[in-house]
Amino acid sequence: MSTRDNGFTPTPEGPPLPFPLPFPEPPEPQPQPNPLLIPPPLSFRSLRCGCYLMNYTPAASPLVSYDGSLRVECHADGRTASGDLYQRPVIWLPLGLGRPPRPILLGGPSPAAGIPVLSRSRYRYYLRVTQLAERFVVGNSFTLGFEMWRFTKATGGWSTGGTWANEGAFTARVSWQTAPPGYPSASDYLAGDVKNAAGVVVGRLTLGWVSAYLRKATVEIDRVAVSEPPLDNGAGVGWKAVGDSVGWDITVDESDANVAEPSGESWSDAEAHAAMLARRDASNLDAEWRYHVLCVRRLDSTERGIMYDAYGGDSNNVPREGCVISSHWVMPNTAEWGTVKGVRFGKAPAPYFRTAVHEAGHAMGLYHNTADHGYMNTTNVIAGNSLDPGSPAFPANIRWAYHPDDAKRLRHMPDIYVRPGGTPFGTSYGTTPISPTDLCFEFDGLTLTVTPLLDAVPFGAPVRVNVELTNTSAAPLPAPASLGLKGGAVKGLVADPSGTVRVFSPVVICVEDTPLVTLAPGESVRDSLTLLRGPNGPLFPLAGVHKVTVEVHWDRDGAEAEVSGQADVMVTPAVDDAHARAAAAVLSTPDALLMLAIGGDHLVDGVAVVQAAVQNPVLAPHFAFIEAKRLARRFGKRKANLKAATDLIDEHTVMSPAEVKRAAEMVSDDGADSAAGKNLAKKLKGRVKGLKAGDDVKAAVDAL
Amino acid sequence: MAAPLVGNWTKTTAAPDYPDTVHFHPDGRYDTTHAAADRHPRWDVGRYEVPGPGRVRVSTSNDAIIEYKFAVSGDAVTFTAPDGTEFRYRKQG
Repeated sequence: MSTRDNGFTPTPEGPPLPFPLPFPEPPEPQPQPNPLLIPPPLSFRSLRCGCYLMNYTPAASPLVSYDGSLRVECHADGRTASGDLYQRPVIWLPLGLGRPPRPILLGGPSPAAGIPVLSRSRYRYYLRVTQLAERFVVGNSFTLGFEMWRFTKATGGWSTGGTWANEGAFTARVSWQTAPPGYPSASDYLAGDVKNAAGVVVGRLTLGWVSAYLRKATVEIDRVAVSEPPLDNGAGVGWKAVGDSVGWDITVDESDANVAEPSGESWSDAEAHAAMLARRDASNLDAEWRYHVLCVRRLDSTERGIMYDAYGGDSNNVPREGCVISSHWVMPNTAEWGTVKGVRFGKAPAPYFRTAVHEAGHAMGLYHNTADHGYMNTTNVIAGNSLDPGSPAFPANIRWAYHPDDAKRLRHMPDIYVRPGGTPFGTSYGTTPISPTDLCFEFDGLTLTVTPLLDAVPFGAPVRVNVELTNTSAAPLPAPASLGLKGGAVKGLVADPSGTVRVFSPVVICVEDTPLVTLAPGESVRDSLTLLRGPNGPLFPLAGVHKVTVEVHWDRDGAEAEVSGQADVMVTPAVDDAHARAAAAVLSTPDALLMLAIGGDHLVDGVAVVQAAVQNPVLAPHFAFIEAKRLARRFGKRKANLKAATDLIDEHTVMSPAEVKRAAEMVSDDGADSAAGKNLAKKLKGRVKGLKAGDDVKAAVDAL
Repeated sequence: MAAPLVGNWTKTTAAPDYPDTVHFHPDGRYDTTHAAADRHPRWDVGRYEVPGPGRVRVSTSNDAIIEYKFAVSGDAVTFTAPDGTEFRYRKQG
């Protein structure tokens, strides 16, 4: 540990880590004891960290296109991403001679220009990324999941802010392709169709890597002649290192050193704002993110520094353009000021530079944060805490970093929140969207096949789907041991013919506790789901094609892994009034779902509607086993009645493989030697021959 | 000089720029809580001093130090901002 001339001792943490973070190597195939079992080499790909030039073009809207950036941050737990979209301008091309002008969609930003900087007036959407390839994928594509948050600016100047509205969840299956000319990396370009929650393609997304940084900005420093420029902390941490620590490519413009004092050594907020407007080298905030730092001897409104461009100090209604710091304030001659007590501020590079970074942080939309001694804590608090037992003296107790929450905000808050001239200071973190850090990652190498037991079911009937999770890679992979709705790993959604989406889920969701098995290459886990209702009501409330999406989630190294699959099911309309009445009763009775899931005579309403459905010739085949399952199980004083259950089951009864297995277990529970047991066993053996079922189902029936 | 304000206070009037609760510590620090999500409060965390009777200087969210008038009456205090805005807190415990 070295001590510099000013007596400042670097903190044990040292300077911020370089950006990007060290890139983890792809996993190597593990050595195998038997050479015959060595799998072929797997093709791993990972999403490169940094900024991607993004374009989203909605389908069937030839004059609407959005450009912007997608930021992919790499960290120890994987990746976190976020994006912003700006609407591309349309111009009207005059054709002359009385012909009407023709609208022309202008071209997008050049990838050769790196991180795009687009006009604030064109800002439209923040992309809150909820799913992406967090580590490595096998193959050439992955699913990007995101919410689109539309920003609506309030009337008036930018100081009036705006509001956010979530327009829904979207996915894009993006594949790596060769980049068009102009991109710095031909191999880091992706494209794919964007689908809404109902699975309908709504547009096309392209992503081309343009920079290892996430954002870029300029910090211009102007000063009066006698004020020192705050360029670094005297121990190697300057603006570039500060920016690098959060993925910002910061350029320092050490500019005017002769700013005149308008009214003596002490400046008002208004004087600082006026000097910023008069002396900054560039003012087009739609072409450059430029933050202005003014250094003066003293300040009227505070001691060390202020981000004056807020509230009443923002005379041009363009928020957060600049800040001002004081070089000639003298630190009090008291113990808390440690090794710099009595020192003029500009002569103490560590606290002086820290204050400049702190005020610039306010200009980037950050607020005070006392959770650590980082940049957004206040100097007074840090100095005061240096008197705590065991603490280094001020300023050696400064932490030269942003608190992790603030670092995330700088990386992933919406452009319009952090960029100068965007939303006003005072805008709440709580009303501004930001991507989650821990994402659900898609587990490539496992394929989920969803197959309806029947391609078409009558209105009011439950829909049975078979699900099969297969290891399609060449290496063993962990997977949930059970895919049933009681297993906790499966949930999903159903989009009805109108596009309305309703979810279904197990009663208890706890992916951390999902038992796992190891699937050998080509091996599968199978199960069946019987779907009728979800928390949003009936899943199949209309006649027509319904799209069923099944998702399997489980915990994988502390993150949530996901594989999903889809299938279409046709619901046919009611054939007569009796069918319609029975179906309506089932669909409007929440207990009907519990009858499917757990059964039991206590579900009085559920029992009644299922029995009514069994009496209806259209619905009977679909509900017979549900009622048979109830009858075959003792409940309270009522004895199990396998004969009654067996009588309900015939060759028309719709039963999934899982239900066939359950029926076999019913026979085993009752005793396969009983007449009813023999009868049901015979029916099941005939049925299992034509059934595509797992070995466990066949074994359960064969054992009868 | 900080004595009249030391303690925990809960806001009793609608003043969205100011926090729901404020704790003025005897050593000149203050901190706050604020549940409303629509706006970050002008007072978030920092220092305060009472330079004279009925006056308090508070470091605010953008580091401006702003002087407010205040009047304590029983367990209530009324602050007056430089722009004339009045807001009240009631002392807890």
